[in-house]
Order: sequence, then C-alpha cells, then structure tokens
Amino acid sequence: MDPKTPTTYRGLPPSLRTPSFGLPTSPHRYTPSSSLHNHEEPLIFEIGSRILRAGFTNEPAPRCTLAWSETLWRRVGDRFTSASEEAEAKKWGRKGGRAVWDTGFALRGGEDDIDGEREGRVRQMMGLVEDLVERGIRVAYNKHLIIDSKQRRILLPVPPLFPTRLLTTLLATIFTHFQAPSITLLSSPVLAVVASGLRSGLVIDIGFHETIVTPVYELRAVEGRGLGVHGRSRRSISVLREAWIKFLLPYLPDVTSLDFDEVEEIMERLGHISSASEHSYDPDISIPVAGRTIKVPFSRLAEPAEKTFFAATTTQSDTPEYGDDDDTPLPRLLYNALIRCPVDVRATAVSRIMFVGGGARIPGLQARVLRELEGIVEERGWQLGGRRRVRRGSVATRKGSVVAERKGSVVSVKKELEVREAAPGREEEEGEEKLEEVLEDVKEGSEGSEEAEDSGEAEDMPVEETAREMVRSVSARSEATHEGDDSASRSGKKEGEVRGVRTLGVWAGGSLVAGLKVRGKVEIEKDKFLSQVANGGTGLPAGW
Amino acid sequence: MNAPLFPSILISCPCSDNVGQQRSRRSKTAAADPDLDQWEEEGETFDPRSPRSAFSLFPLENLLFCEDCNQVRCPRCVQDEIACYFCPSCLFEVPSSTVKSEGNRCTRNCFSCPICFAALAVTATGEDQTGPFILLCAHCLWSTSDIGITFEKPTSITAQLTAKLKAASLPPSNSLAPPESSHSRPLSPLSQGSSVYNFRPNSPIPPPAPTDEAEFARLKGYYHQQNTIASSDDFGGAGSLSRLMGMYSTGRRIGSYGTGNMPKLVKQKQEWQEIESYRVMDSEDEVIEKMKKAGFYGATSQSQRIIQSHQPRLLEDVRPLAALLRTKRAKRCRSCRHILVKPEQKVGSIRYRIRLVAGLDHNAVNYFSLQPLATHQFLLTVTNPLYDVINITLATPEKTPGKYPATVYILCPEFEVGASTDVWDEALGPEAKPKAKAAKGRKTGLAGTIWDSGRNWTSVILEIVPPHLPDDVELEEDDFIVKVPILVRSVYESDVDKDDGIGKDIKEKKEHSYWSVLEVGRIGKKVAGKVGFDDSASAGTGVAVNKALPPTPSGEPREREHRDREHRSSSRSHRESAGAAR
Ligand SMILES: [Zn+2]
Ligand SMILES: [Zn+2]
Ligand SMILES: [Zn+2]
Ligand SMILES: [Zn+2]
Repeated sequence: MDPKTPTTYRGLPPSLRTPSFGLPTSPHRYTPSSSLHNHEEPLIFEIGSRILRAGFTNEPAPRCTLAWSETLWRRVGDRFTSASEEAEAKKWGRKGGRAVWDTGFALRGGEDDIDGEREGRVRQMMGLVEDLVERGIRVAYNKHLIIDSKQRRILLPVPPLFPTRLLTTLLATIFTHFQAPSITLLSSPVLAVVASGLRSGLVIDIGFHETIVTPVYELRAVEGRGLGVHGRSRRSISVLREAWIKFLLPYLPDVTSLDFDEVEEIMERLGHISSASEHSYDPDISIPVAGRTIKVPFSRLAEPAEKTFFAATTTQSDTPEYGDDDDTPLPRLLYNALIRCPVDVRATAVSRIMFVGGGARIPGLQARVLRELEGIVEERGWQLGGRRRVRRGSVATRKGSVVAERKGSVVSVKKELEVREAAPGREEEEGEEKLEEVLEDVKEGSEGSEEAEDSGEAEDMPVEETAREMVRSVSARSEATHEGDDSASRSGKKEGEVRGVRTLGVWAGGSLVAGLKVRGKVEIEKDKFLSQVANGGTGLPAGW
Repeated sequence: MNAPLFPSILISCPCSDNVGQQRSRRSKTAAADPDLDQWEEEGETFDPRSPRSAFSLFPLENLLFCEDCNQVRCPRCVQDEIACYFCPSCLFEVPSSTVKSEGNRCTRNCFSCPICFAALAVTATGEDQTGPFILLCAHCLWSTSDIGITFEKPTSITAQLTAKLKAASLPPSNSLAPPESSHSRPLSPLSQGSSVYNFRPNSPIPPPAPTDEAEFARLKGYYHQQNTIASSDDFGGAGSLSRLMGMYSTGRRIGSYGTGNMPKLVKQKQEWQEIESYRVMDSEDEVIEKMKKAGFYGATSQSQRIIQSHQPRLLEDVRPLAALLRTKRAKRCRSCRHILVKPEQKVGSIRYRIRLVAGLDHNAVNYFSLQPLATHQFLLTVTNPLYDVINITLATPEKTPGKYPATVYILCPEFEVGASTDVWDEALGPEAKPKAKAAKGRKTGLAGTIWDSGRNWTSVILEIVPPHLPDDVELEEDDFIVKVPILVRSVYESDVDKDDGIGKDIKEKKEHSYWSVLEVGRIGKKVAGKVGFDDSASAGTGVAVNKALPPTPSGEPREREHRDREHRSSSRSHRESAGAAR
C-alpha cells in the first residue's frame, strides 16, 4: 500500500522488509509526505537523567547516544577551552558526573513549602532540565539525526511513576523548542518487554537515582499493589559511585575527595560482580586516579558493586539488619515485587526477568541477582504459611550455606540470614510481614478484593496499613486458607523457575513499536498541551 | 584558540523561561497587576552565578538579531533548516535521498579514530605504497590492524570494512532467518520444575552470540508478521494492536491483570503470540575474564564506548567511526519565522548581522588578575549601529550577586551615543571600528561625566572593587571570577515604517533592553601554587584601565588608588539615579 517501506538499516535482507499495512487505525491522522523520508515515522527519544538516546523508527540502535557530560553544562564560549584548564577547574570544585534531574527531589516540590524556598529550588531544577534537555536534543537533531525538527512526531518512553512535573517539563521543552506536532508516551518497562519478543516479564531498571522493578503482564505494566513502594530501592548507580569513592579513598592517603567523572570512568571500566572461584588468576590492576596510579587486585574491584546491590543495608543505621523501605538489596527487591503480583503474573514474570538501565551493564550482576533470588524463593516459597515460617531460621541457614557452597559467594544472603537468627527484634518484623502476606493471600484468594484493588485508590497506600485494617476481619479466614496455600506452595515450583531473559532495551522496544505504526492512546498534541500548561495545568491526560 | 579571556562580555537571551512551569506563586499574585509584574521582572537582577545562566548567556558572536521581533536570538531560539548535506572530511555533497539510509555518514574513505576521534588516513603498509592498507590515526597511532583488519585496496574502504565485519561477527551459515539455534531456547512449559540455572553457566561449546542487530531484525520481522496476521482477521487486529496501544492507557493505571481477566483474553483467536524463541541471559564470566586481562587501559572509556552503536567494553572491539555528515543550515527566528541567516553563506565566512541596537563593547585585554579591595577601572564603550541617536541607561547592582560580592560603580550611567552613518560596518564586528576622532570627552574621570566619545560611540568608566576572599574556606573557581550584570537600556526615536505611505515624517519612540554580563577578571589570590595563574601582571602596577578601546590618542593608565575616594560619594548618587531609571 504504502510504497515507502521504511529504509532498512545497514542492508538487512529484503525478506525482512515486510510491506507496511493499511491499518485501520485512523489513517486520516497521517499526513502523507512527499519527501523521501518517512515523515510519519516518529523519532524515539529516551531521555534519562544521565543519557539521552535518540534515533529513528525501525532501527536497531539509536543514532545518538549522548551523556549529559560537563560539556553540555558549559556555557557557550566558556573560558575552559583546553583539557588542562578543565582539569584545573575541576580541582576547584567542578566535579562532573551530574544528573539532569533528581527524581526524588522533583517529587518533593510544593505543598508544605511555606516560604516557597523549596518550590524555588524545584523551579530552578526544572529550568535546568529544560536548558539541558533542549541543548542535548538540539545536538541530537543537528549532529546525529541531521534532520529538521519540525513535523516529526516523538515517541517518548516513560518510566513508571515518573514525576508529573518533570514529564510536563520534558514535553514542554520538546514542544516549545522543537515544534513536534505530538508526543506519544509509552511505558518504559513495557517497551523493554517488547524488545525481548515477549508479552510478559519482570523488568528491573537499575538507574542513576533508584532501581525500579515493574512486572509486565500482557504488555501492561502492573502497578499498584504496593509496588510503588516495595518495587523501588535507592540502590542505584549514584549509591554505587559513593561506594567506589569509599573503596578508592583508603588507597589514596591525603586525598579527601575525588572527581566524579574519574570515579565513574573507573567503575565503568572495572566494576563487576565476581562469580569465578577463588583460586583463579587474580592480577593487580593499575588504576589512574587523583593524579597517581594505584594497584588493586581484580577480585577486590567487585566489592563496591557487591556492597551496593547485595549488602543488607547501605545506610548507616543502629539496626543495620533492618534496612529502610527504600534500601532493599536487589534480589530481595525482586522477591518483594513478585510476591505482590497476582499468581498468574508472578508465574509468568519470574521466568522472564530482564534488566535495563546503567546497572544492567555490570558484568555478573544479573546472574548474581537471579541466583540469590532463587535462594530466597527456595527458602521462603511464595505463600508463607505459619508453620513453615516458624522453622525458617534454621532451615534457611542450612539452605544458605548449601547455596553458598554450590554457587560461590552469596555472602550477603548468608549474612542476612545469620543476622536474622541472632536478632531478637526480628519477631516483630516478621509479624509485620505476615500481615502483608496474609493480605496477599486474601487478595489472591478472592476475586472480590482484587476487584476492589483494581478500582480503588489504595495502590500506593503502604500495604502494611491496609493489612492492619484488614487483618482483623479476615484473620480467621486466613487461618483457614493457609491449608490451601500450603498445598499451593508445595506445588510452588510449577509457578515457574527463576530465569533471566535478554532484552534489547527500552529504546529498541520503542523503535519496534513505532515501526508497527500503531498509535498509543496517550498521545499528547502540541497546541492542546501548551495551552493547558499556559493555564496552569500539567498538559497530561487525567490519571497522571 | 587562545583568545584573551578577560574581560569578556556576554549577552543574556531572555528566551529561557521555564516553559513547562506555572508561574511561581509570588509572580502569580503580581500578575494581577501587569505593571507590577513588569516591574518585578525587570527589577530582578540577572544573576550570572545561577546555574541556568550558563544556558542563557552568549558571547556576541553567537547571537543573531531579529529585526522584526526587535529581539536578540540565541542558538536556542532559532529554528534550523537543513539546506544540504556534506562530508566534512572529503567535502562531498550527499543527496538528501541517501543520507538517512547511509546512517548520516560518509560512505567513502572518511573515518575517525575510535580512540581519540581524530581523522584516520588510509595508509599503505607494504613497500612502495603497496597493500595491505590500514586506516591509521596520525594522532594516537591507533590503526585498524589493532583490531585485526587490513584492506586489500586503498579505495572503497567502507564496503571492504562492512564485508570484513560481517564475516567476523556472523556464524558461517546465514543466520538472518529466524534462528532456531541454541542461543535461544523454546519457551519451555512453565510447569517444568527444573532448577537448572538458565543463564547458561559456561556451556562447553558456547554458540556464537547473535549480535543485537541481528536479534533486532529477527524481532522486527516477527512483529511485522504478527501485524499481518492481526490485520487480516475479522477483528481488524483489534485484539492485539489495540492492546499493545493501550499499553499506557489513559486514566487508571492498570492495578492488576489477574485471573479474572484471563479467560477473556484467551478467547480471542488471533492472539498476539509471544515469539517462539528468545534469548536467555548469558553468563558473563567470559566478559569478566576479558576485563581482567584488559585492565583499566584495555577497556573503553565512556566516551569511546558511547559513540559506537554496539557499545564495546574493550578496546579490542572498537570500530573505526565513519565520518558523520554535516549540514548547511538556514536559521529562522523561532517566533516570526524570518530567515536570519541564509544557508548559502559559507560556513566560516558568515558575518552574522547582529544589531543589538546598542552594542556594549569592551575589548579584551590580556588575562587579568584583580587585586582584592583595590579599585579597578574599566572603560565601557557603547557603540551605536543605528542612524538615530540613542540614549543609554546602564544599570548594575551595587554589589554583584554571589557569595563574595564585588562593589561596582558606573561613573556615568546615563548618556547619549551619536548616530551611525554606516550601520553595517558598525555591526559587523570590532575590526570595523571607527577611526579615532577628536575625542569629545574630556577624560576627567569625574563622576557624572563620560570618559570619551566619538561619532557613534561613548565610553564611560566602570569601577570595580573586588572582594577579599577568605583563606580558610574551600573556594570554587567561580568564586574567583568577578561577574558584573549590567542592564543595558536604549531609547531612541526612529522613522516609522514607510510602507503605508503616511508615516514618512513620523518618529516613533523605541526601547530595547537586555541583560549582559561583564566578566572583568579573576581575583588574584595566591593559592599555594596549585593554579597556574600568573599573578605577576597585577603585582606591579595594578593598572586596570582598559587601554585598548577605543584607540584613544592618550589612553594613559590612571592611578586609581587615590582617585577612588574622592569620587565614591558622587558616583553613588549616580547609581541611585540609575536605580530610579529602572
Ligand atoms: Zn534565545
Ligand atoms: Zn567523506
Ligand atoms: Zn587516534
Ligand atoms: Zn523574529
């Protein structure tokens, strides 16, 4: 029908150039183009806090991958023109490694902010986001995509629960500075799943400020059910960078602070999670840092990442054994997210676990997360009846060591378990957890309550709260259902094994979806958006 | 580029104002009274130390002026329009029809170094310029032989390289057909109670990993096939497509999609199928072993990795980078769409037609060290590109913004500048300066008087007293630079546009103002020899009068220490009048 089959990239064979189809999806919305380029094909912009990816529909990789480096932050014609001057400047506090935004900070704007001071800072940050994103996208258009910006639709992947204000700022920036006629929003984790060829999965996004776990079922992100809280952890690249600084400083007496760019360079090049056995070759690695060279055994270079993503806690605390809600180690985070899923979702998702984000690049990390997750699943199962839990401590320790023996280092799991045994206060938390689990049981057991969850606003209300309310009324019933749960958990293995799947990533998912010429339901149109924003709105459809 | 660094003048483009943000609560109330609102906006001093100023301040040569909007246009408030594509290396012009399919890159022999990004040259390795040939970086000496690639002939490098890379990365049998190979395993029934790890721990014969590119092609083919099936069924593909589209359905987030909904989905016949085989996670032990061997220096830096589409971890996996094409572009005003710069003008020879109504000028002297607590004088020269006489008001805060404010005085903040006789000569840059004329200014240096003036320029004295910086605090580079925000306002009367035929002799009052930032220099502070700044310049005379501009016959340096006190009181009154003028 349309003779302008998307041009294939780097000579893919014609067999894959399937003709495009006259889809019954409101054809009037496409403006036929007389140009040789396919103007109706959107561009895919994945805008992260550290990296911008931009490229064309149906291409396997973005044409532009841009780090928000110091160069982009710099003023046009800034006097730091040479590398040496830049180095001098760095000594004076330009530390590099900045993120465009801080999601946490963006979320905290406003309400209780009486003197307007915080609001002012948020506005300032949003202004910087606009400034920087404008500059980055301009580079993408002018240098990498080399196309005129006007009249190109944009497809923008959006992470779950992305701060509305930030999203509005991003959209406004694209509309105002680049005149895109419309922007389609699609869920990042769903696109990651699309880019694996599947329809369901568990997507773990290890980003700069946080790690987010999102179950995807039938191409929909499962949200609510406490996932907004329990599917997130502060364990992230920024925490990793801190861990690296802590790791490196002891090697550098009389150095008190390090340049972020330099540290990131080291962690990108050498960071890993070890899996090899101890007696393997372990050379000293020379690392240039802070103007000198240090030597560190390769195996030790796994420590910062192991600490960051697997240790029981990363924050200073009197009770380090009880991490904060947002400080969950990754394997546990996955478990917490999975146990909050409906049974079907869980069964499917657990054997389709995929990693995206900066942390996914750390070699050995994915395997280690899955290994430990499997340990937790083996130990706890999915339905935790009372009987099983009573014995758990001892069973777990034994299991833990077995696991350790079999798979190398699962230090943190072991530690966690030991701590758990030793700590008397554990009872209390177990009590808490039990409530949650009872709640889960109830939810999963009865369709009625699930409906309620569906329509209710309780999504991000802490599960504990809800649990406390509900447990009184349902405790008797839950006792009764535990029998059934136990039988379910005995066959728990049937729910699926822990398994990792490779995805081509969020950007590639966007490229694939865009190539199908379907249009998302959330399509933001320029004029409407801008007039809404001008009137004080968010410009986003209801529900955001 | 070794241009003198200080002092420099930057102009603020007002186009960046929180496009996605509602007005702050404070200015919302102010907005009720438009006058108040305007007052507030202009009453706010531009803060050159705000992080956002890095995005709104530009040197004059980066700015354009839209005459229709009577407004400065910076690189972010112009719209680029591509006129043609060319390779910056071989200067070949590339027809726009092939640009995209060739990846926006030159397909001849133009490559840049994957290590240092300098240009690579085709170089013969045999005697007498015979093959094999390599691409060699003259800068860092990297060559394609480092990654085991040589070329038989010195031409068609792109084609040769593509063929060689293809041969290296793909298994012998053509695997572009959807592979049933072992790298992907069938989606096993979920009930399979295996406890084997599925990230393929060190399988004895690792199958060749398909590249992401091949996998993408496979998925793309598969989705298009699904699309065909879906669109051919009676539902018009509704079952699958709309669901896919509804991924981010408006309104409610999908709370759960559990048991209750399942049967409905299963019923649909033309179900969107999951792909039959997918890639399970690989063990990364091999990667880790390679990293161990490569060490820090064998790994790619972030900038080296990120620029390659396959994001290689190790230097042994990098590829030469085909030259990115460049464009010639027209620039239009974003709001009125008038063309500001035409594309046919040659890059490098463009003389941007800037007409800032009043160009604040300040020729740079050499790198400048300021002495704390001493008064430094600078000559500020305002040149007028218009045919009409303009009245200038300069406003500056008494204390510059920042943690360590400097004190600023403009001895004569209000003055007149004569009309230009040749607008364009004036606007085209400093080399078109008027010849020195008999100076009208008396060069008294008294408050309230200009220093000097010419046909269409006027100079006034600006006094700066830099702060003393504390020794016991960790200072940032920025703290050392004295940045003076100056609001330049010009008022003039000009002929009304004659198009309507009646406005011939009618004069119209026009007004234009903008913020500029004068970076006068760096506070010379001995910092334990850490920073290589030469303090000797300031050590001796401490002369701070800008000698270079305009070519005054007797621009003798002024001793300012004793002058300073006698004028302080009188210049204060003038600052106040400047304040009132706002
Ligand atoms: Zn501008
Ligand atoms: Zn070329
Ligand atoms: Zn090189
Ligand atoms: Zn204009």
